[in-house]
Amino acid sequence: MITFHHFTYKYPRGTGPMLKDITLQVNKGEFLLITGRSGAGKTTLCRAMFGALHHDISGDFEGSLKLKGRDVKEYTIGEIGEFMGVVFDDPDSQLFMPLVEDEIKFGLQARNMPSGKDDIKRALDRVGISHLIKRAPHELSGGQKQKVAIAAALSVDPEIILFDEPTSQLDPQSTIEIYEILSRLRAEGKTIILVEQKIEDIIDKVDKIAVIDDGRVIASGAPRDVLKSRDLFNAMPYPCVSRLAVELKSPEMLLSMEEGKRYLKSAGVSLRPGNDNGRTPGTQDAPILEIKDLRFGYGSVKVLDGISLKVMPGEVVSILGHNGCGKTTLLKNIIGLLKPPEKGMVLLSGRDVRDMSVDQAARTAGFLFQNPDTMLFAETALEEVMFGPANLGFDDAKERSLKAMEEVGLLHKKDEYPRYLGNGEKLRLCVASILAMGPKLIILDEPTTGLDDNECAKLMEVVLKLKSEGVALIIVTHDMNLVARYMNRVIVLSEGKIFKQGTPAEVLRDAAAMEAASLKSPPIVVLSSGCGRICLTVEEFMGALS
Amino acid sequence: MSGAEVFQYIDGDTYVHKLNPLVKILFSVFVIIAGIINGDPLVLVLLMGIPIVALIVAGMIKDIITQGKMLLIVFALLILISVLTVRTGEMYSVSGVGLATYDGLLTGVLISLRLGAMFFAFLLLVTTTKPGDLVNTLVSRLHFPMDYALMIMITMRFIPTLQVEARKITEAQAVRGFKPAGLSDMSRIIGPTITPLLSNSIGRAGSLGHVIELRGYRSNAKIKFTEIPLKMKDYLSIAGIIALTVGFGLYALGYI
Repeated sequence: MITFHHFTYKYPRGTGPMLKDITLQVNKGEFLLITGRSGAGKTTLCRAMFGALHHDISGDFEGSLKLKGRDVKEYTIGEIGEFMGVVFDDPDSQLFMPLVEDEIKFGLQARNMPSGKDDIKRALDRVGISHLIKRAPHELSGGQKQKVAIAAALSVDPEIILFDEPTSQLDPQSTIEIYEILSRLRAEGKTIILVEQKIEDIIDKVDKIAVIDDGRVIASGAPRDVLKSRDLFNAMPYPCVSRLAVELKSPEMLLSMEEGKRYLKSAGVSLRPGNDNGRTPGTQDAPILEIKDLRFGYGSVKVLDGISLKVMPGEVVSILGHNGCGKTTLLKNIIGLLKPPEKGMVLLSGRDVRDMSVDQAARTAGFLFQNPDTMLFAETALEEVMFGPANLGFDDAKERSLKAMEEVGLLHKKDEYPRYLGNGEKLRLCVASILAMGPKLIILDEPTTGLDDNECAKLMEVVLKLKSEGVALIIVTHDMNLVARYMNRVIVLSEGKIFKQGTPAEVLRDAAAMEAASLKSPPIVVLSSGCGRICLTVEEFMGALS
Repeated sequence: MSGAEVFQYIDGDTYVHKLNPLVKILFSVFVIIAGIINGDPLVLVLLMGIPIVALIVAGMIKDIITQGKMLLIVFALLILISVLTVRTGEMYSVSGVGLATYDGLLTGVLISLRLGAMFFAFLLLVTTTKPGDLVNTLVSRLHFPMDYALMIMITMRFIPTLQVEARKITEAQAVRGFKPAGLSDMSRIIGPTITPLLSNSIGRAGSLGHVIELRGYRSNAKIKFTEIPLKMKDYLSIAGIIALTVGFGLYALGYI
């Protein structure tokens, strides 16, 4: 269906080729997973496949790219759309009609296909969302928007469907639902190309995997064969089960959790019992944040129902919960964007938030919104970081900012335009912007969304450094590996109440708590619990082998 | 959803919702033209009253009140401006100080009523007509160019998204200690809030363009829309609009 033959491509104003000597074939009915770290060239590869490079962006090309036996140049993007549906990462940039029904109707009408109510319903039913027919995009969750985009891409029944990181901005529950749709499409005989950074939940369902690094395909083939390569193991993050297979020298490469459990049992792997890995900071200082019986609602809708908690200096606390459980409302109460009503109290360093303005609260508690693009505006990275301390009236705003940029490892980028930085760098720049205001508590809302493992590790390095300096951090996340690896304490919110709190090990092995947050325990917790002990990382697992 | 979304379709099953979009477009055009050429406050009140009644029939009393409050502020401003700028005609004075003239007050009231009539007619059109049907009618019956119709649709689609985003950006900058002193501080607001809003929208436009093309749309495309059939109540309503137009024409020419 798609054949790349020694394909090399350079963007019009690029310094070097973005894709280098790509030779890759996608056959009919095949499910191909393309993976690689951020900036490796995955999205460029997608753009090549649906014709955007040749027909819109242009640049320098070498080699060939054929779609269904004809050169990509012979089609227009519209003609490619007849046999290839494309779903992008940002749910908001793919829906351009005011209602879901119009979104589907538009595609059908543009191709002069029947576009009656039944035709639209049928298209939505393929992804199980016909109940959303009358809704507007802004009323939908990210996962629902992505399903509408898939339904729109499928409505003209294309042979090939290309997904460019469709789950990078979704929660785990929506990710699983999208993957279920992919598996159904695979069973229907569609050719599927999926680009993903995190491959843990999908690797066992694909026919072929291609790993891209620095614009080159460094490995391709059946996942079980490809992952056996020792070079690849050192070059990319493996799914937990596959990593264990390599570490334990399993004769067969393992891909799914079921295979992992079976292997550990048959090989008789057992772990030495150990003490619970609580990572308490051991400080007896006064809490930086204390919340007492906080209740909050919008009109008659109760959102927070008696929350009490403390956060100590140097502590890294994670708040988990499904969408709509009250996490955002809680965070906004902490930083004074919402004021607690008479009942309940939020104390920042012992002072009631009710008595502070938002900028006064910002001196103690910094808040980083999920998407860095909602705050970056300045001409240079340094100006961006200086904005906060200057607003707070610090005379030494520049010195503070330079120090904060050094802390996050971005001093060398101080003169660059912030919005041109990579995703991970943008996020660290935002952390520096908050840090320069000198808060004792930093709240990060879903900081790792869309980051690859390498960028994620760099961010967490910063977090650990801040922690060692006595800064407390609250991290809202869906990433259970992050929770397992870095948190001191985990709080699960459900229906506006604290459902459970404890060490990562206590919470992550608790099926009820995980279910309340619509989350899954990380694979290493599940696998190690079958061997007699809860381990939070693969390193810990290997160290505990008896 | 928090916050009021302006000019968004509100689903319903009322008589007004079921009217053919053509009827509502014709009515809006009538109100706009009649409002512009007419200078009688009573007629303007009538022109504003009809869409309000229609909106009540469509079950949107709440929206009328919400939007009405905002409109009253605009009215007050308009009257104030015209009172301050138009100083001809009979002067009304308090303790010997000339506050306003008859002409000033009348001008302010007329501009406000005109604006009110057009506002409610447009509100009626967009809140009770599915956007898809509106564009269908504009293109299929009124031969509106498809590119412009698509532009209208995309604009309507992104109004609420931009509202939500603007709120997020304002909050994100507020926690960085940013405290502009109202609209008068416009020069300081532009950088930290408008820049991210615009940059994000422009960033989105690139992939939006690809999506539209992939779905089969080309500029100036001839998309065949199936016309939405006119029913008896539509014909009756159109007859009503024609009667109103004729009546208004006779009145304007001085026959009534």
